[in-house]
Amino acid sequence: MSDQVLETTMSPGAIPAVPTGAAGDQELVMGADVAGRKAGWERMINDYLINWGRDPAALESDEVIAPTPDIISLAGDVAMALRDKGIDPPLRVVPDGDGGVCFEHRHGEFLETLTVASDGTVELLVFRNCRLETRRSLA
Amino acid sequence: MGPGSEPVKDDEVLYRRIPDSIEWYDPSVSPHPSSKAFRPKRHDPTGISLYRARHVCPERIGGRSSQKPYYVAVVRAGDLRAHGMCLLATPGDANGPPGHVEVTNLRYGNRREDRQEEWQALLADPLCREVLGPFAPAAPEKDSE
Repeated sequence: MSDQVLETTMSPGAIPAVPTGAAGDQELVMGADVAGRKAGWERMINDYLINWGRDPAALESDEVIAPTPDIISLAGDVAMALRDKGIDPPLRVVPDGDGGVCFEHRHGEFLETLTVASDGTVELLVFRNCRLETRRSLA
Repeated sequence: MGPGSEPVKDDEVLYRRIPDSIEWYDPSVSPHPSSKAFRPKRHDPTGISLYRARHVCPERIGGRSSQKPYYVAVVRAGDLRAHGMCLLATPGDANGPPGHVEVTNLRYGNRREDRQEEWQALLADPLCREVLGPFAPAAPEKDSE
């Protein structure tokens, strides 16, 4: 997945900097926001992906195909790439039920799902008010 | 016509089971479940499963095979039909909970088509009216009527 594709398809992190009149303050707010986004990704990686990799049985179910360690690892690579690009952390990361891993973003009327499928392909879907507006293969 | 085989009325409340262990619903994250909770799985070749509130209570749709807790998403039949989803009462499985319904045009084979992807997003939010639970698994009764 190229950096350019990531930058042009995922919603960049909104930066709700509070204007204070002091450039230094604004830089601090922006810096804190960047740190917050990074921390959000770290939580997704540590609390979910790494835990799933350590204990794949946690996702075992008669209803879903759990992602393999290789797919979880690939999802971790994607997560780190998005984190390093400053993309907003997802609302949640979930198994897609077919052996893949899905990052789900919600921004107002938009829903974005970035799925690392069981075959290693990566697909982005963007919905606006539940209407599918974009479907793009990223890898 | 046996219990549960009568046509589903628009004003009927329907339940969708969401396994707790799969992370598709976490009330601390969002009041709405993930769209993946409504994605057809390999065992849904003829449509995703819902259950009719008039025939079964949420505590009874855990199924016998699962030993894990679950949540229950609540939707209304008329809302699904308004978006083009087709509902068919399929009460035939004696081993499962009563009041089984399938969304016959949202099945494993077409789960990746555009409209079906949209339906999964719709079912999660805004068509999901609330989520109940979590519930502990329990053996279902044969019929509640």
